[in-house]
Parts: sequence; structure tokens; C-alpha cells
Amino acid sequence: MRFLLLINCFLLFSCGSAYKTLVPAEGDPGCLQKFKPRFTTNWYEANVDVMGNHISGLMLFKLMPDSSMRIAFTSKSGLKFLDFEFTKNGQFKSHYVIDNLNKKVVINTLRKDFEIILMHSLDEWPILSYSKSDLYYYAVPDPDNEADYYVTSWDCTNLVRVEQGGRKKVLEAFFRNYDNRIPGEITLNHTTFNMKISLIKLDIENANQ
Amino acid sequence: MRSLILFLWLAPLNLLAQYNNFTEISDISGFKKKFNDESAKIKSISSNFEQEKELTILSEKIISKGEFRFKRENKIRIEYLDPFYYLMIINGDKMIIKDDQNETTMNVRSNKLFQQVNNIMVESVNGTIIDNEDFSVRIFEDASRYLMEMTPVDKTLKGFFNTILIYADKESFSVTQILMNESSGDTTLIKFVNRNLNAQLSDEIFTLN
Repeated sequence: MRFLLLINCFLLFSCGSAYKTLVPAEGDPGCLQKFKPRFTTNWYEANVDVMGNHISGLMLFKLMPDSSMRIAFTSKSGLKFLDFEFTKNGQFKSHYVIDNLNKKVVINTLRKDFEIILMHSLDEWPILSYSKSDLYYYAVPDPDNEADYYVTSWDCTNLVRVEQGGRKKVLEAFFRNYDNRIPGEITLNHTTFNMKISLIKLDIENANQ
Repeated sequence: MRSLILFLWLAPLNLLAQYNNFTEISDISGFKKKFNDESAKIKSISSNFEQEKELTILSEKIISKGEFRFKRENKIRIEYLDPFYYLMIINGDKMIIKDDQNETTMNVRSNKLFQQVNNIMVESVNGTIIDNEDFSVRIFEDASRYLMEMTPVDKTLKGFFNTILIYADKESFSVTQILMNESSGDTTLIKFVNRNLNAQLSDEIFTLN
């Protein structure tokens, strides 16, 4: 398996790839761990724009006692759209999806997007280090000839963006305004089709008192 | 067999526990006429509301608050103010939704589900929901309130709700709270507080102009 991933690494960074201009560099992938969201129970205001349709709602990330992560998305008026789970080992399970969204392509797209938000690939191996201009690219290849690229400032104090792509970039994500290792804003842009997810953290402590 | 006996024994207890201190009204047609006649005297409602959404399996809830306006026959303005902003206006067949990022206007007749949701919201407050053929209805009462148990018979609505419970004040016949028991097991409770009946409301608040 690891051999296959290394083969994929070669293919990714060979000719024709959007990332072929990256230069191997010495880096410390361990520095990325501080950017991995440490959700406990966090609500976000969510705006999803897909193919000309706009859906707004509330998204909950909740770390369960068994260390699994549950993600629920409801409308603002209360109706639940979906309830997904990533087990402690990263396995995905769909607990509930409304009929309108219950399509394999939709669920797979959302699963991949949530994996980016949770930065699951930081638990994978290998993580390769590259540089371009004054940025570092930490690449985590997957078996599908794509990779997640964690783009940081040269000193790894700032996560500039996360990209996903192979021959071309398919997604970019931005994590901003961290507070106690929880991002205040998360934005995902799909670049090969018209879909954008925007999350803004809600301060609900006062509302729940 | 023992399980069956236990189930049959517990079933009525469960019902009693659900509607504690309420007794069922057998004369539904008499109640409907009285309820329709009395609620027709309510020309407008101006109220604050508190919405409690509970994700039952996740033992998590979020409370949101805002302002509610109703003007007979079919104008509704629901404005969420805390902890997020969200505005929904129903004006006849037109539904307008506005949040921080987007504004959408739609004709509810263009979509059966929108029309059903529109009908539930409008008819809940104007007193005609007990005539809605998408539901079967049972009526209960205690000393100060009526409780209308609405059970969807329509296939689409069954996919969203097990029951919708509408509580109305016996004196004014106005709705005081709505509890939506979703098919997913979640609940949404909307409580109307500081209700002001038959206050003067301009038509302009039911538009975005």
C-alpha cells in the first residue's frame, strides 16, 4: 500500500500536474497538527451554494464519548438535513439524510468535504514537503492519484489554505480566526463545479443560558 | 407474548405521559367550528418567540430567538435575531428568505413541499390547520389550553414529521407553542412569548421593500 502511494506521489508531481512546479524541500509536517480543528461541541452558521441553489442552516460538530465525530446539519427553522459520523478510526457512517439529499454522489462529496474540514489526512503517511515561492506545500497523497496539500507560510505559523487535487486543483479550503484550536471561519470552494461551503462559528453560550 | 402484554400495558401509559393532565375531546367537529370562529377574531399577532431545537440522539440542543408577526389572512414574518440572523416572510403564495448572505424569493405553488410547509405555518396561526387534509387530528384539553395533535397522512410530510403538536390558549384561541416531532427523532419546540393580539401591523413589514 505504501509502495502504491509512493508511486502515486511520483505520478502527482510529474509532468501535466498543477503541482509540477513544486520543489522538494525539507519541512516538518508535525507543525501542521496545530491547525487540525479540535472540535468538542461547536455550532456553525452554514451557507451552502451548489449549482445555483443556496441552502443556509446550522452545522454541529460534536466529539462523542467514544471519540467519534458527529456532524449534523439542520435548517435554521429546525429541520435536520443530515447526521454523519466519522468513527475514531476515520470510518464514515451516514445516520440520517433527508430524501432530497440522499444520493450517493451528494453523500460522497459531503464526506470528502468533511474529511478536509476535519483534516483527516494529517493522520496519514507519508506527508511530503515541498516549497514554492515563500510557501511550503505539505502533500498527503491518496490512492486516487490526488493529494491534500496543506499550504503554510515558510515558518508554518500560518495555514494559508488547504488544496485538493491531482492533475488539477479540485478544491481549496480556508481556515481562519482560530481560537483555542477551533477555526472561527471555514470556507470550501470546489473549483471543478459550482459548490461553496461557508461556515462561521456561532457563540451560542449566551443563547443557551 | 410477555413483550406484547408489556407493550399493550405500557402503550396507554405512554400516551398519558406524553399529554399529562390533558383529556381528549371527542366532539372534534364541534371543536373545529368553535376554534375556527374564535381564532378568526384574531386579525394579527405580534410576538417574540424562542425556538429550541433538540438533536435527541446527540443530546444536544440549540436555542434561537426572534420576532414573529402574523396578519390575517396569510401574511407571516419570522425573524431570527439570536444567535444568527434569518428572515422568512410568507405573503400569500410568495415566500421570501433572507440571511446574511442571500435573498431568495419563491412562489410556494411551484413546489409541493414548499406549499405544504407554507400551509402548516399559516394555518397553525390562523386556526385552520385542523381542517388541513394532509393531517389526521386529535384534540385534547387541560384547564387552560387546547392541544391539537396533528399526524401527517401525506407521504412527503410523513418523511419529516411523526406529529406536530399545537398548543392554543383557551381564552384567546391563539397558538402559544408548537412542538414538531420529527421522523428522525429530533424535536423543535417554538414558544410564543409576549403575545400581542390584534395590534396594528402595516403590510410593509411583510415585504422586503
